[in-house]
Amino acid sequence: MGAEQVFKLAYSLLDRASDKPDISVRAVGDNFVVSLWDGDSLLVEVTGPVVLSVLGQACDQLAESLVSRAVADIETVKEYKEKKP
Amino acid sequence: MNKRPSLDTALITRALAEHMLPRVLEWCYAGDETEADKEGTLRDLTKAFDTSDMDGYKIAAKLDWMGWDPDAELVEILNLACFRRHDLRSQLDKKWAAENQPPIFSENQTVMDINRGTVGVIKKVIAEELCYLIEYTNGSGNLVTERFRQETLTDDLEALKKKKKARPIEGVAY
Repeated sequence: MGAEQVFKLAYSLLDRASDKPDISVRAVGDNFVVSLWDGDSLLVEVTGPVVLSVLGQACDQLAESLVSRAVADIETVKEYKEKKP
Repeated sequence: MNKRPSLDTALITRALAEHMLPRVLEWCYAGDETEADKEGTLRDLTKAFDTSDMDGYKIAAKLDWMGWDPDAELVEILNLACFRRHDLRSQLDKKWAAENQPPIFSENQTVMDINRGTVGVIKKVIAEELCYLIEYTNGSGNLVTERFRQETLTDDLEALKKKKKARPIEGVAY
């Protein structure tokens, strides 16, 4: 799965948590910081050396959070987990 | 503390149906509706919005099965509802948080998420939502900052020690 597909998948998940979903990626030293936003509010941020891995981990955390916050159905999260690389 | 509104799906669905009712009535009846029409429309909308798949076309299809005759204009109105759901959830949570103030934890405090056993340090208190940004190290060794709701957190140090799933973060003494 390429970077573009991973980002699309991340957006489709994030879309369930926010009407203003946003993903930002920035480099800090040797690491990448991936942040998942609901408008101006930070939902999850993960820092690590491999950007796609970090994005995947951020989405995994978001998926857990969505279920515990009951803002996405289990099917949405299952769909994400089935498609993720 | 009563239940956070965003966790009450029925409440959110009903609030959304009430919010969208005037626009949908205008589409249906153009101002000629009766009280019975209003009640029936609200009932159908509440049923149609009872889904996590908020897509105007799919909601219109559900209304079609209930005997409605949707068109492109209604689909557009229903698409607005999809965006409003998040806003309503957020508004109701903020109102609830304001009634349940103040936050009980503070910055730099070590806490654990009861549901997942995640242990971390509070980096930011989001008072208006009774939420916290908490920093911890995940299973891959990467640093994570994540939003948690107050009602899922504990600062009970004994619980922190006992919780098997707890993942201590580096440099934090318990």
